[in-house]
Amino acid sequence: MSIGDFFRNILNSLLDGSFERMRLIGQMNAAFKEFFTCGEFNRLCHASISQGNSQYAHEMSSLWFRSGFKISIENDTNLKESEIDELAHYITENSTFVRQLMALGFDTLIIKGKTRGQSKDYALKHYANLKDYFIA
Amino acid sequence: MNFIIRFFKRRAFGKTIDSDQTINVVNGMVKARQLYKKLSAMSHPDRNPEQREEAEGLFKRVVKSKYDYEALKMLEKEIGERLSQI
Repeated sequence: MSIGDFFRNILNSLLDGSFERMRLIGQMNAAFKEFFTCGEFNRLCHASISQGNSQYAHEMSSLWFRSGFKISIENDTNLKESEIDELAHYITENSTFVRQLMALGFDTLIIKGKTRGQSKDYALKHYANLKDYFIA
Repeated sequence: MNFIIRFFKRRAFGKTIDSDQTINVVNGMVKARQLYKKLSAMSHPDRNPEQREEAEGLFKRVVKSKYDYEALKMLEKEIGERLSQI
């Protein structure tokens, strides 16, 4: 590890993993935008950090006001609850990604329609498939 | 103090993660549904009566990987190689 990486890691830890969070969110948003603009996906989604549900907290959670991983659907006309559930499934069924989110301090997955306000939240710790790894 | 404990717990927990799934999740949201439909039809045992057992195994794996785009892509290749009808 170079000296630069070492200090970057320290700063990242002091900022509660902010660099890594922004990288993940930036990567997702770029992909969402690309798929929407080239017509492959009819919903424009936007990932961001939001406030989480304190009931879903685990021992690695960030402060509650930045422990939510939110995907808002910008064009939410005719958005059905089943569609929200289906989008959530792609995250909750992928236990590696759920772990990735938990390691970054997220504890709540929120999927929300931007204008009509339909929203559902999910406790990430229920989907991490932890086996013998204990999470309080 | 809490911050330091959390830091070490996250580091230990991070070791249980073997790959970055960010792009796979977005690809899944966009493309997995269609691919799943295609592969479940291709590997359905009724469409492969001569290789029924093999098709059953593949079909089960397709259903299990419904939300995992990378796994479906790998299965697509495998189905193409193993089921002669296709």
